[in-house]
Amino acid sequence: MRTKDFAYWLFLAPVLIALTLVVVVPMLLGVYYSFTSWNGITTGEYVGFQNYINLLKDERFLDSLWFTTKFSVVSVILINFIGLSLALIVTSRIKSSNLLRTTFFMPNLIGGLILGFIWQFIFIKVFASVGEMVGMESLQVWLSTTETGFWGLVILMSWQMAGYIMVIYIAYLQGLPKELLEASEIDGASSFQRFRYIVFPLVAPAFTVSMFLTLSNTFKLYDQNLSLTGGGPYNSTEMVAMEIFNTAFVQNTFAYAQAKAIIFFVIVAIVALFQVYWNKRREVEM
Amino acid sequence: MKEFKFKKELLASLLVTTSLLAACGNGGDEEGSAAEGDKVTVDIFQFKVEFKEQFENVVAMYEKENPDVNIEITTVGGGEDYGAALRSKFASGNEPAIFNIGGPQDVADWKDSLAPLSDTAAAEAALDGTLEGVTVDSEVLGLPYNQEGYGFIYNIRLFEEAGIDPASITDFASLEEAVKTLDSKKEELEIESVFALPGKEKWVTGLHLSNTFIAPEFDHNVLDAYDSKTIDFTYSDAFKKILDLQNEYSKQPTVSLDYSQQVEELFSLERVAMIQQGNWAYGSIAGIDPEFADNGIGMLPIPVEGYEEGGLPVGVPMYWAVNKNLDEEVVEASKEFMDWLYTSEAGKTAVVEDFKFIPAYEGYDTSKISDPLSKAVYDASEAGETIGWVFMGYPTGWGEDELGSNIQKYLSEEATWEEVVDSAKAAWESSRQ
Amino acid sequence: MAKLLMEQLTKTFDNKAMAVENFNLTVEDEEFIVFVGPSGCGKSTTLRMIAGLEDISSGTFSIDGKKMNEVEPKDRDIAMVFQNYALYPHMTVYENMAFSLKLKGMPKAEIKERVRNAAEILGLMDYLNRKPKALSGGQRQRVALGRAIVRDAKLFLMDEPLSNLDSKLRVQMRTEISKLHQRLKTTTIYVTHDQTEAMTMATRIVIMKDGVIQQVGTPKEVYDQPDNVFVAGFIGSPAMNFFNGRIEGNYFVMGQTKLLIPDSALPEGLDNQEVIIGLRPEHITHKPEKDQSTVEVNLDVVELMGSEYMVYATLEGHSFVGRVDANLNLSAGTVFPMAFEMDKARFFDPTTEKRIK
Repeated sequence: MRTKDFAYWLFLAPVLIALTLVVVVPMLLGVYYSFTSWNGITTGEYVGFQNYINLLKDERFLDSLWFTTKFSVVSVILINFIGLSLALIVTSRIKSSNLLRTTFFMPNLIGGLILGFIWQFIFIKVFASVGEMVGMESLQVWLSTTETGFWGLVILMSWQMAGYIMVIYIAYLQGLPKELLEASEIDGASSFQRFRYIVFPLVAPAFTVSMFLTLSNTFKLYDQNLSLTGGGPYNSTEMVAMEIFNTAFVQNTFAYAQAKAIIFFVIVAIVALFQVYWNKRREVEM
Repeated sequence: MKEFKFKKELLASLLVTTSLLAACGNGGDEEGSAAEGDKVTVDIFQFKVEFKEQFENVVAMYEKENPDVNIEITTVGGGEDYGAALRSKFASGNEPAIFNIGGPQDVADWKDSLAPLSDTAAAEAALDGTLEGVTVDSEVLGLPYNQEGYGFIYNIRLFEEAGIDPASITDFASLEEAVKTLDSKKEELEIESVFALPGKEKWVTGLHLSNTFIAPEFDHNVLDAYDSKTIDFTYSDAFKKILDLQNEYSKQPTVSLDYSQQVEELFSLERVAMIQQGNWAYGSIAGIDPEFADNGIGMLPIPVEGYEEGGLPVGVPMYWAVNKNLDEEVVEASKEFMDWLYTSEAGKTAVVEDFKFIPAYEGYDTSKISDPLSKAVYDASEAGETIGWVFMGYPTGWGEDELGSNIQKYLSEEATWEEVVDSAKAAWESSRQ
Repeated sequence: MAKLLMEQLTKTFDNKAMAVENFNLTVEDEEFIVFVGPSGCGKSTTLRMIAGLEDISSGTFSIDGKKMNEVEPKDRDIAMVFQNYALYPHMTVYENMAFSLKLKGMPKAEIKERVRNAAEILGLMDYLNRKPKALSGGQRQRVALGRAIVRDAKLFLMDEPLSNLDSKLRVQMRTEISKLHQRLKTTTIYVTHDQTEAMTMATRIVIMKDGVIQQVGTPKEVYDQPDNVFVAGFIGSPAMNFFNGRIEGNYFVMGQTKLLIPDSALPEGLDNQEVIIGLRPEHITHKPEKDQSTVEVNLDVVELMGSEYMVYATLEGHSFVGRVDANLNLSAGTVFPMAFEMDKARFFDPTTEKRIK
């Protein structure tokens, strides 16, 4: 038995070592740094919970946290709604469904930064031109106000991620036994009732996966944020990841940024775990 | 039998582990072996992407002349964060011999690594005032890259057609007058607006524009700014006037207007008459319309009402620093290279003609400065009609993140000018406490 | 309760041959019709056209004189039981059965009564609050039936409902479905590939092959009077034995073997014709006295089934199965006289494979 145990750990060793080196150690170092006045060059002295106390009073951090939360809630709902709708469209019996699938998925293949710039062009130039043509003032100020920045980010994110989420839903929708849908059809369900009572409850596992992906992706969003609005105007569309980055690399207060990162990590972890737990409960085993 | 099997397992897992670790280790070895024979290797870690190619060519020339020196250049800049990259470069233990620092804050951050450069010929030749930001206790710790300056770049043709003589614009009043004239003739001149104010680029408003009005307060000395616990905003009214003028007569919305729209789309295509930018914009304008860039543009000062109204803000954007923690011979070789670059004939030619720098050193043939913007900057510098660059002495992040953001707020009418000024003052004080 | 009429029903799938071709059938009220045939014969497709799950390519299908081609499945007033039950996994047994009633907007009390009645009949009362996953195969099958029963539909459609059950349960459920039909008298169409199910349950059997009906008839008719070689071979287990040969006078001749056919059994005008004769295993047996249709054969395999032997042997290149009383002592490898009851023989045309009457 002892040798078996030994061999067991031995085989686990490569993974354990790798995981320790790239996840556990940096994580612990990060926690340690968050209690110091590290500026990126020298570790600095131990300052206790000062960084954590400061961040509770840091309006910019709290604003970005609130903005991120709003953004995540709206995006998660919208992405899942659009993703599921697209999946339902392309799994129905329409002719061009393969072409559509590819088309819908395409945005996801483009990097976030580039997408940000593309949409920046659309929001600023195209919207403005259209606005000028039809004389709508509101189309000419996109990304220059907090609201348009917010919706710009939501639209960008939905456009990019909906196709990806669609693929997940497609996988689950196609995994639904055909007979179940036929049975419900014969049982007298209209297409809406079929969706409401049969399809929707049965793709619940897809919700778990999709919600988790969208939630963590929107919470940790950085590159799209950077390239689309850059946090502007006046840092009002700055999300947490970007705020932390700026704290670290623009203001050079690395330890403080590290403290924010730890808090951010804890929040994301709690939200994600709670969400998975909550969704799991609603799942049905086939 | 059992033992044999166990040994095999052990071997297999050891193999996996070691090959994993070996894979991680390999990268480092190769870089270490770069120092071949008795050659001195000088690693340069620099940020100016724009002249990467020209710089590499010049370095190749130097290596040919000095076969015992091997220079490796790494360029990180443009969209990437040089400061962050430099920090990780140092953290990795792979310290460069020559790197870039920006001003007093960088000097303080990196002081443990900065070799004294007072004894170099380049430091000797540096123009007056260009070394202020990198001098600590009369020891020079950095060498200027070049000089840069900014102001209002204007379209000569449009000014002519509107009947404005650029030379007559000497103060705020005359500038305002000219702007109104231009604005009233928008239709005939076929322009969208007079200005293009890139409110999105917080460095334009928060660093450059603000510098024009803050530098006088600190006597144009970056160290004074760096050491100051407070800021008074003595010229905040003048600041507001210029900002309002630009904003009022700019294409809207200014908050989302960025550098490329401002310079390339609006100014280079002659859809606006004037922009606040520096000599670096020449490249962007020439990229769209070389003819226009060479002959159609000029630069006006930014008037500070109630102070000097004809000064062009000129300064040193970046310095070279030498890492003193490396071997003596590497430090010496680094210094020699710097001297050669800025004081040898070949180096000087390259600096002006290849790099198209406005030299920050004496003894250059300035007639070779070709583009009109650099010429304007150099002329102002010669004539002493300059405003110093003190924004390198702002608290870290204050200029862009604090002031720049608040100016965006002001432009969005989310804050009054008083609030912007007060909040900027408070932020300055709190970070200097 | 319903009377169905299918006229020239045809199904063509994209770029494929016809799945069902010119299907004509009239189903009377209260009938229990079984579609039987090998897989791919079009029986399920026909059922799905009746259900409305497949479009009808051409032809008409009507219930009680009303054309149904374009009517949505939910409006056809039919109930269907699927091969893998198709129970909704996220609903309890009760909810599964109540689902269709709920969709109709039936009052809760009535739903409850109907579901309880059905559950009572099917012995599901104890399981109403369970999810399908917690049920055995047989119980799931009952729920599927229950879901059909509560509907009180005009027509039951069952698509191989027993093929996922083990053989013992299958026999049991078979009788239960038969009893259910006797009790409810709902017109039922039942699809299976198992001829035993067809024989035991059907009032009439529809035998299909390659999308075409081969024969329609009562179990007895299709067993005794098969229209062609396919039906003859498909119905009955073990299958009917076939022998190729020719008729010479009153004899069926193949190779060296001559078998005497009684006059009464021999169709006219077959003299000197090539024919296929079919004999069911129970008609190749042992008789105490030999006659002109007794042949000595070498027994290849002998299987004791309890009351009788199944004997496998070869005659003139044709392998066949016979049945012999278990009182005799038989073993493989021995030579044994087998009596061919030629008066029971069925004659088929070797080219058309149709029966010659």
